[in-house]
Order: sequence, then structure tokens, then C-alpha cells
Amino acid sequence: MNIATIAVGLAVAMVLFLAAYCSVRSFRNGKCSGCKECGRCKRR
Amino acid sequence: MSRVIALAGNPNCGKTTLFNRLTGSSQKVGNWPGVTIDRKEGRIKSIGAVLVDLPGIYSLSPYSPEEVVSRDFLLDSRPDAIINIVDATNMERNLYLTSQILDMGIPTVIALNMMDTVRKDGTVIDTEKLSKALGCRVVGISALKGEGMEELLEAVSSADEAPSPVRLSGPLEKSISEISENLRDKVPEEHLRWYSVKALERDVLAIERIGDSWNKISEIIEKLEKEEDEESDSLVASERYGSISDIVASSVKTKRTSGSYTTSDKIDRIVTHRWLGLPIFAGVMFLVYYISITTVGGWGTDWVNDVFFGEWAIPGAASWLEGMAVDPVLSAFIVDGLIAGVGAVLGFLPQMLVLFVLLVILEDSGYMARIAFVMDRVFRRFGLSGKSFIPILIGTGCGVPGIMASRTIESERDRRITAMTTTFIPCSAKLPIIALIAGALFGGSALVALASYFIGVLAILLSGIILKKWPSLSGTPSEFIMELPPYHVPGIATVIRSTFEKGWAFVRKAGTFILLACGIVWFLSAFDWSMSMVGDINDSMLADIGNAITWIFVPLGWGDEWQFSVGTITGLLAKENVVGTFGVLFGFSEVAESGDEIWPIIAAMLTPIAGFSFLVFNLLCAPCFAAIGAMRRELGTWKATGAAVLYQCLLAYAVSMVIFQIGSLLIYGTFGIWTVAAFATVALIAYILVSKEPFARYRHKTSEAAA
Repeated sequence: MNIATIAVGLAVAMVLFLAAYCSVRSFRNGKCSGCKECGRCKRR
Repeated sequence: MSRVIALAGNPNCGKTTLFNRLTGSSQKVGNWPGVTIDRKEGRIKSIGAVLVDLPGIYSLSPYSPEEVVSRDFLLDSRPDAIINIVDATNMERNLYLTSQILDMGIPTVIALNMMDTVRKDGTVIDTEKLSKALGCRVVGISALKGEGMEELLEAVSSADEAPSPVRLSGPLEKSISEISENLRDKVPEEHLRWYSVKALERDVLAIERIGDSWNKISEIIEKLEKEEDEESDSLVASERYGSISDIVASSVKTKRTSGSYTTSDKIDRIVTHRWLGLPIFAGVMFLVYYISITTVGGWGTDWVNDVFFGEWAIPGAASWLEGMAVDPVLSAFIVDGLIAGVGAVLGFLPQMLVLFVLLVILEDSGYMARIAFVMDRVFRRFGLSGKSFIPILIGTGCGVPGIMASRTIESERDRRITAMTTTFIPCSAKLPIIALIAGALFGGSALVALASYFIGVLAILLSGIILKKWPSLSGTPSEFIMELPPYHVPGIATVIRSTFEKGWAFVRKAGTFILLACGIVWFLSAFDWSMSMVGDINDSMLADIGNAITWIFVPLGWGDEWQFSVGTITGLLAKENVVGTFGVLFGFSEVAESGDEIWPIIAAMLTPIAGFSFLVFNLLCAPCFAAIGAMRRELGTWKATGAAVLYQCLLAYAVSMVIFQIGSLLIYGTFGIWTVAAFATVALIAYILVSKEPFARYRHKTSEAAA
């Protein structure tokens, strides 16, 4: 396995981790697509 | 501690527009009543206060859940001040709420909105006179254009005195003061007059809070009613309107003579016409889909697919990874899985953006509010009210706020039916599926999108009849009273902001949830159960999973190819996944590189009627997980939510089977056992529609469960 494969693999893993984190956080916050139509997204 | 300022007013008088203007937020605004269904908070930095935007209410005797939110906040949270926003083009009706707010004893500033329209009409409002008559500060503003904001903020920051209430006639004031004596020490001092007047009106919620003083108060009310020979709530209402009428007459000079028609009136005579209203709406929606799918949006999508992904992104990424000598498996995962899957979804972004622009223009101009009025006539025949159309309207963007908007409906049964059926209307996430099927099998015809929209409406109407016959959901439809807002030219900033927000939400979802799903789909489609990479996709884990379930969809015409079953299942997570899955499974990266599109592959696998059946099933079946979660919140229990999802799936299955089987019989002359099943399904649906009590045997069970 060359260094480029490791670097790209790590980058892809990080992107997928962030995607998973954002997806889970979005669902846990009760958000949908973040369209702001119902006011939940910006409710503080 | 920051001051808390409540923003209260009638529905569709511009509260959220003012909220956005004062707080710098970008909350959804719409030119129809009921856009705000829950309270929202924001900070006014210049005066260091918290502004709370409340759902619109016509009076402080609420009927629907979102109206209760407003009243409870004003009574229980005791804001430091209230900005009562009043539509200056319709003062008499708006000041009815004002007269009740002034009774609450909370410092109030009246923001007289839409002053620009009033000036244009040649009407002159003397705000000084109005201020004296109402006993509180009145500021003329235009929330849309930002006029009068500084003066309003100055008035709000200096408002610290309780306003003087609008006085009623002698006998009523006498009864109010007698009731007040009975309520002293039982309700907050500043709300004493408000509770007294509400008790006089026999307001149910006020009576609940008053408790054991009610018997004495009841005697006072009966005495008044005997003397005046009229019910007390009618007396209060007519006195209020009388006082308001005097105040308006003394401070407003209108140019318009009674009986003359405004431009809005003239347009309404055509677009809300008894016979022309619906055909005009169908024509408008055809034009919307024609522009967004076939022409402008279609050209954009072609460019993104053929040039951006076909010539740049996919070949560029592939050659870069090859040049870096990255492992071929990882390279395939990135190119064939992530980029191909997300690319297949993002390819539809131009069509969606054009659709969003057109829908925002229709909403903001005030046309969609007319459609709710037109649809009321149709919906009422099917056991629903026009109020159910507002959630459907919102559901064209995203099903989740659409389901939540069902809260504006007073009747619980109507509310539950609306929450169960709103997702039948194609939301923006379903547009890529519509565009894909239209492009692959129907030459990109806008009629496919139009048919999808009206099949959604028909499914709602059909469900209105079917569900109203279910014992626990039966009842007469709610009354629908809606004020039609005047037409206006949509604000460019509103159109751009709303389109950008919806488009960005789509891109964000594609970059997170869809990306992840495409990665999983690629993994399952590239390996077999022994974790060896497969040469033929039909040997993969995903093919095995797909083949295990695909028989279910054989009667619908697309069960022979497991890829469509897998697409439908991944679509339950998010509807965009259907197209993303196809991007991975049909090798979007390879076809894009060669300049071809994914369409010919789908066209070779499905007949047009099977493709249409696939589209209809995905439009009507269970929505995405987020929408199912929203349904759970509105329906209250997982049991009811499960029943709703089951109903949606059964209806989708029945409609798709009927479309495919009867369509195939008519077009290709195909006849088989499933054709008989399709006719039996039609007969069953017809029986349920015609029969008075098709679910009579469940009445007993339902009553027991309810008890």
C-alpha cells in the first residue's frame, strides 16, 4: 500500500465521518432538510 | 437580563417579515396565513432585547393548537412589551385583536404595517390621533421595505407603561368591574381586566383558570344578559367593533369609494372563479414544471450531467487518482461510489432551483393563498377542508414542515388525516425521481411532473373519503375562513433567499446523508458475502438482498430487476437516495465519461408504464425517516404512525398495481392473474368509496380502544 493510498484513504474516512456526524446530529436535533419553514432550525 | 418583546398580530400581517428585519434572521415568510406554527426567538442587537415571533391569531380566544401557543405565551411568560403588528390595509379586523391585547395590561406598541400600500391607495392614516384613541404608541412601518424601523425600536425600548384599554359601554363596564372585584388576588393584577372581560365572554380557558369564583361571576353575567337581552360574548364583540369603527372613522381618510374593485379583486374574480379556478391552476402548474424540468432547468441539468460531471469531475478525479497510484479499490469507491452517487443526485439541482424560484414567486405573490380557497370547494366534497391545502402547499418544499403545518387545523380528526396524507404531494426530494423517469421514458415531458402533482392531490382526496369512513376519524370537515392577502410583486430578496436556502439544504443533504448512503450502497454492490470484490454486480451482497425482496414488486411491473427494489428501500432513508442508488448501480461514472446518460439504461430495463408505476409507488409510499418522525410528533403514538405508514404503503401498492396491470392490458394487451387482482382492487376501492359504513365491523373495536 503506497503513501498516496493511505493519505487519500484517511481523507475519505474523515469526509465520511463528518458526513455521518452531521447526519446524526441533524436527526437528533429534529431537523429535516434545514429549510427553515417551520422555525425549528433557528429556534434558540 | 434582556427585555423580552412579543410580536403578536393577525395571520399574514407581516410578523415574520418584521421579525427577520429586526433580528437579521431569515425565517420562512409566506403570503398566506399560518406560516408560523410555533414561536421563534431572535435578538434585537441594537436595543439588547429578545424578540419572540408568535403564530398569527385573530383573537385571544384561540381554537387551534398554534393559536394557543400565542395566548399562553402572552399570559404566562409575561413579556416586558408587545409589538402588536397591524395590517394598515385592513385596520378594523386587525384592531379587534389589538383591543384584547390592550386589556392585558402589558406595555404595547402598535406597528402599523404596509403603510407603503396604504399610501399607494391614497389612504391617509393619522397615527397621532390613532395613538391617542388607543392609549398607546402607534408607529407606521413597512416591514418589507424597512421603513419606520428606527422609530419602532425607539418606541419599543421606551415602552414601560401599561396601555389604557378600549372602553366599552356603561352596563358592560359595570359588569366588568363587578367581575374584577371577584377575581382580585386570584389572577395577576396586570391581567385583571383581561380575565374579567374573558370571563364575561364565557371563555372556556379563562373559566378553567378562574376556578371557584365562577358561580358568582356567572350570576353577574346572567343579570347583564337579562338586562340587555343578548348573550354576553355577542355584546362584548359588537361593542368592541363599535369602538374600533369609531376610532378608524376618526383617524383614517380613505380615497376608495365603497363598491369599487381593487386590482386584487379583479384578478380574484378570474383565478378564484367557480369553473375557471382549477383549470387555471392546472395550467399554472404545467407551466411551472415545463419551465423547470423541460426547458430552463432541463438545460442546466444536461450541462451539469454532461459537462460538469461527464467531462470534468469524474474523468478528472479518476485520472488524478490513477496518476497518484491510489489503490484501484479505493479509487473505485471514490469515483463509482461517492462521486457517481452524489453526482447523480446533484445533477438535478438546476431543475430544482428553477422550480424553487417559480414556487416562491407563486407563494409570495399571493396566488397560492387563492388556490387554498379554490381547493376548499373541492376538498369539502371529499370530507376535508381547504385548511388541509396549506400543509400540502408547504409540503411541496419538504414534507416535514408540511406535516407540522397541519397544526393550524382545529378539528383533531382533520388534523390527523392531513398529517397522514400531506406527504403524498411530491416534495423537492422526489423531484429527481420524477425528472429521471420523465427523462428516461417520456422524452422529458413536463406532463409527467404535472401528473405526479395531481396524482398526489387525488391520493389525498381519495384518502379523505376512505379515512373519514374509519370510525375513529369520521366527522364533518372544519370550517375554513381565510382572508385573501392582496397580490404583490414578489420581493427579489425573498425569492433569492428562499431559493438559496432550499437549494443549499439540498446540497448539504447530498454532501452528508446521501454521500454516506452511496458509500454503503457501493460497498454492498462491489463485494460478495465472503468480502471478495465481484466482477459482476449480480453476484454482490446487494443483489442478494435485492433479489430477496424484489418479488414483492413483480405485480407492479418493476420487480424483475432488483436494482429498482433496492432504490425504493434506500429511498425510505431519504428520497434522493433513489437516484443516488441508481447512480452507483448503473455506473453513472462510466456512462458520464462516455458522454451518454443513465436514461438509456433505465429505458432498456423498464417499459414506460412500468416506469410510471415505479414513480407513483415512490411518490405515495412511506416518506423518508425525517417525515415519519414528524408524523409521530403530530399523531402522538408510534402505533398511529405505524398505521399511517402501512396505509400509505398499501395505497401506493394498490395504485401502482392498478396503473401497471390495467395500463399493460390497454397498451400491450397483457392479461394475467395480477390483472384480475388489479380489477379486484379497483372494485374494493370503489366499494369503500360508495359504501356508507365499509368499516362498520371495526367500530366496536375502535370505540373500545378509544375508551
